[in-house]
Amino acid sequence: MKKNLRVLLIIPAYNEEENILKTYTKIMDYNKKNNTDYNVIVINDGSTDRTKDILECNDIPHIDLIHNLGIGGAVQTGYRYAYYNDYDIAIQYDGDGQHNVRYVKDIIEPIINKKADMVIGSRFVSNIDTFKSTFVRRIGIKVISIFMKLTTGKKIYDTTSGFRACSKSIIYDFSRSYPNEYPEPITTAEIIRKKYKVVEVPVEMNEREGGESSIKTWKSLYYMLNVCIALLVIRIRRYR
Amino acid sequence: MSKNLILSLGIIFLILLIIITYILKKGRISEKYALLWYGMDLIILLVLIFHAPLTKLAKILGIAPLSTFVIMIFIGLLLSLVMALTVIVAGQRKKILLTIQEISILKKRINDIEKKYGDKK
Repeated sequence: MKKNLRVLLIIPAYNEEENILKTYTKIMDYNKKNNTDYNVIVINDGSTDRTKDILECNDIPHIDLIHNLGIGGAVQTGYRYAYYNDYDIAIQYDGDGQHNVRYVKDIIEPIINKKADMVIGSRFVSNIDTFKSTFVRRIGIKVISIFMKLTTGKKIYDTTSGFRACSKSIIYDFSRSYPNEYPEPITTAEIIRKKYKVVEVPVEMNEREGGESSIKTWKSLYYMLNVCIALLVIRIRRYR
Repeated sequence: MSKNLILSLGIIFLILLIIITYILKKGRISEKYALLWYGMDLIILLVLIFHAPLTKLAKILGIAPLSTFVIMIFIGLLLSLVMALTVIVAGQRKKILLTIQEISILKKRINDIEKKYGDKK
């Protein structure tokens, strides 16, 4: 394993006053115990609660967006930051305690070994007993997965996973263009259509530790429909 | 085409022409977008000039009276205009988003530099 690879965890945060410090502390503790050097950048997406104060008081590296941009805009800011600062690998990481830092090494490994350009931390590729979302959302994820297979020819099981690692070339791509709505499945499909290698590795995920999810249950169906339409458009679009 | 319809279209054409020219003169609209509206106005003028073939076309299409056909043309024009504006808005949104991202990243860089060298002042 290359020693000097620079890894950045991009954590988008909107009103995450309850979780953000815990999430950051867990990553830093992991770094200390395991002699790793995962850098963190929190993208404060115009939070209206105490998120900004918490980030400043605790000296957590962060970017304060001057206006709320939504999840896609916030994550893209992280990719732009990663690109400007010459990071080798960028990882999307939720600020609400759903992701587990001990799986970071698993999702960056295929990139380090040049076996993948993007790695998705997946809840559905192994029998790990982990939180797998609500019933309605699982159905939605399945439907999107079928559409993904139809439009890209590749089966992706955890289409909405926000725990993903990207190589340098994808960091560049994402810094230039990134969808603002439903970014995970859409970008995955685009990346596959651009002939990048995408793999899924098993990870454990937790339920949110606090606050509210950005996707409410009643919106799941609407989300699924939109993503399916977007995937069909990706099918007819030309890449490269 | 009845005289009343010709007169109405003529008035609409003139009012639109005056309004576009006025707001363009006041600098409230850029030439690029004014052109879009002038294009709309031009189509109204063309309907006025070529109302005879238009009447024939309406008959062939089985649309009567002619005023219904003119209204349909107007609706078509307005839909095209809305579509053009939607494309423009999407483009503007992308630019605003990138501007916000760049400003925010630059703000962080300035803060970092100020923190680093602030104590030495």
